[in-house]
Amino acid sequence: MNYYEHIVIVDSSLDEEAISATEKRTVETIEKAGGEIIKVERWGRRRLSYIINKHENGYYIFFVFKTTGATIKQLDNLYKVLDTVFKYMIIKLGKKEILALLNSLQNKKQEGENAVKPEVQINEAAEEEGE
Amino acid sequence: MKTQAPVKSRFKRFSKRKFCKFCADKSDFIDYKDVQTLRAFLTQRGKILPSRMSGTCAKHQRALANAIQRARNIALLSFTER
Repeated sequence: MNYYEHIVIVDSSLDEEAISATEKRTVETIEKAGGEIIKVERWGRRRLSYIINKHENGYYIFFVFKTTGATIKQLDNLYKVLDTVFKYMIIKLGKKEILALLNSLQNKKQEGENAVKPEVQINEAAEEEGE
Repeated sequence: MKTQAPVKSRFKRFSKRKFCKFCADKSDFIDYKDVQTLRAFLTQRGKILPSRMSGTCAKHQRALANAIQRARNIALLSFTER
């Protein structure tokens, strides 16, 4: 299993539904092949730095996932058929990048746990003040 | 072979010493998604700055070139400006 980063540029003139459908197709393809999605980020509509297939703007979706190498071919085949996607890029992560990714994921988890605690403390402080 | 005498101009003496920004930051890798940092290493025309101008070390210059080319591929950076 390798870690991959994947950016898809979807036609920005499409509505929210069509964009979600494209995202779903990608996620399904990866999961069907036995992969695991780690992160999905939507960067939203952006101006492209240069014109691609007569498009000036694009909707960026960013994926991080973990699969075997054979899945990449399936994704390539998918985007040949899907005409909502006009540009994509898949990058295999190196050792250092994987470490940084795992660290950031762990930090997020810890932050999530920590974020609950301060609220309790604030409530306690408020109660003390009330007394 | 003629060896050039060291030039002792006023400007040379006070010129700041260049250093590799990525070595100073101790960053593990150069992220192609971080367009703002990459922009600092491009000319106005959008070409990659040579390391003799930016002071980047050879190792990081290679990584930087890779990152810029990736960013160009996915239209985060342009191949040429204007």
